[in-house]
Amino acid sequence: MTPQQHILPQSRTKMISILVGLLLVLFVADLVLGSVNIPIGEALKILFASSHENEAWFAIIHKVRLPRSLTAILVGGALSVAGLQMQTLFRNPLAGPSVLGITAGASLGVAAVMLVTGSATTAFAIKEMGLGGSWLIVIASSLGAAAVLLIILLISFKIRDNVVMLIVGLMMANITIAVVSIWQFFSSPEQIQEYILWTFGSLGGTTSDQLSVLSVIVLLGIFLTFLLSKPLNTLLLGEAYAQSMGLNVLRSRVTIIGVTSILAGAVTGFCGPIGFIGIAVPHLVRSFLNTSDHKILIPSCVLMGAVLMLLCDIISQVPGSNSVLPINAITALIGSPVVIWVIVKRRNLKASF
Amino acid sequence: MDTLQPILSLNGLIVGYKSKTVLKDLDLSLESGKVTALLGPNGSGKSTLLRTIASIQLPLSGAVTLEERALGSYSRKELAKKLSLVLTNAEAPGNLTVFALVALGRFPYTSWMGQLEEKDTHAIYKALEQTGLLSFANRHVGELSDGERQKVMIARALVQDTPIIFLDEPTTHLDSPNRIEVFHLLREFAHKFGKTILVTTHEIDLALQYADSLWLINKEQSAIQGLPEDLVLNGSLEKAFSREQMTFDYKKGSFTKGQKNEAHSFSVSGKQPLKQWTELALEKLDRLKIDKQIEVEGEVGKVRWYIPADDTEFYSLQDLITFLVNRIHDEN
Repeated sequence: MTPQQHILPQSRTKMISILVGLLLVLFVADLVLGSVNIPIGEALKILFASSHENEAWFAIIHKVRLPRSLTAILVGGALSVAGLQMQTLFRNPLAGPSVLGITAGASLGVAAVMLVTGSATTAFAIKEMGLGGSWLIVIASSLGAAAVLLIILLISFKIRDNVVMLIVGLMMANITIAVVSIWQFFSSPEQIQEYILWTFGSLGGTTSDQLSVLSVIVLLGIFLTFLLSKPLNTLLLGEAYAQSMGLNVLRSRVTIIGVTSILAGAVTGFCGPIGFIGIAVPHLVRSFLNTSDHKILIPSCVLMGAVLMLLCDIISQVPGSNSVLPINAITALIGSPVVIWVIVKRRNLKASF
Repeated sequence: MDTLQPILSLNGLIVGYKSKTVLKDLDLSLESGKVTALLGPNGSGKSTLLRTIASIQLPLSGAVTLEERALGSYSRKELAKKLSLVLTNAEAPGNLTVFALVALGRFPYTSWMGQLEEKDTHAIYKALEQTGLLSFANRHVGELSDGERQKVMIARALVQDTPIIFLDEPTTHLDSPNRIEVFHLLREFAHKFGKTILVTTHEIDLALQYADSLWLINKEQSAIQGLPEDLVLNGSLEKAFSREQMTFDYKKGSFTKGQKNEAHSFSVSGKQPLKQWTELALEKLDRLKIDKQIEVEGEVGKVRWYIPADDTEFYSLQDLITFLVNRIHDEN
């Protein structure tokens, strides 16, 4: 027996290749399907060759669908990895990027930008602002997320118990949501409408400038998470064991919460508070791969998150029709039954923590 | 006592929390290569003491010296190579294989990505072999029984390759054979491989049977140290655990509640262990007065009881007792 056998059994390699295959298929499908269906051959030609015959199709793919598909992949990967870290840190299957108030904090930041700056800063206006505007939203949402996190971190110096921390996080999220809703109460209907549209979530709003900003942040965040695999694995045994093995628990906790907030904050800023993916994907991956080893879970979560997000995006476009459904509704509608099915079938949810 | 320099010693240690002192005036030491049991009733502060000397919580005052250096002067990383822990509840994530979980114990030795090298793998297989888990290497921890899972946690502590292992109530959720197996393993590690082991327990019989030395928490919120047998014979153990209506049975080494029935005047003749078990069964009949002479013969698996006065023989204690009870009723 070699150690490699323990890390990558054949079934696991197979699972990962299936995910990679699915990712490619869904990526192409996402480019092809939509209000206008473009033949696969043409789509691939537009993607890889410089020559093209149909101006409209070229524009649709390069201006609309490619950025949206890439956004879906980044968002899926980022939220899944953020959720995985929260579930491991809190050793709780219900943890996700939203529980610590990270998403709520990001919403508060975005609400502040939208509702305070008044009618000038509608979502449409932000889209038109290009790079500067995208940074504004990301900074606002990350600051919102960071503000909530700072409070949580300060409390976490006092409280050693992670379950208590989880409850504190949930309460912080509630407080933040309450602040946003008071804010809304005193705002004009137009402003509220903009904000509510943002909360539906959208993958289509990203310009190529914004996309590069998002890619840098997400790739960096995922890379940092991967560097954290050893502490994350050790935390699976609980903080007492982790500390006895020489892990600086406080520093790891701060780093993990920091990386999560950057990932979730950036995604929420650009695409709205997208639910479900962060909680569900880690469960799916653990179920299918039957492991809790983060060196395997992190890349698999990125893949699975991207696959699920692409699938949800295809469905939200309602291929062949002109209507588009809010992505937030689709992630929950498609994803929740999948998670229920997996958990009921495998029954190993509890065993993971 | 050996004249060896203790590997760990406590001097005037006070442990507890800001608002509450749990244990005080602790002057204790751990000798290298021995199993020391930290024995005390539930809630007496065993875990607090263990957490303090494992550097998880700070002492209120006093000194802990580990290998001639103050405990506080060790960095977290250094300490991880000196001390390893096994805790009560098997907080094991079920989704890891036994191998992967035990491998986590190599944390202080592996690179920042935790890549296992040959010496790590070697250490892991050695620990699995020593704990009898070799055939479980690829099983998932979630599929194991409580006893097996606790052995996995012990193997994890072994691969951490520390001279000292602390175990906090490691047998709480285990059944009797598993308890014995765990304590047996601990003795083996201490005596064969020179590990120094401190194990907290509230189970007097296990501590007496397996520990080379005891740290006994007494009624004065402190602890005394000695050979288990010494602490029994000087009455410390009885005092430490004493409660109203509890008496320590010095023959059996355990506590009993209630007054012994002095009315019995039976006598049992025969060889051990048959004699002892027969007496135990008869002593339980504490509302009766039994005065027979009983002979017991045979061996475990095939026992025969005989009452010469009645010239009757029995093949189970139940039959014997039924006969005795009926006789007493008849006489009344």
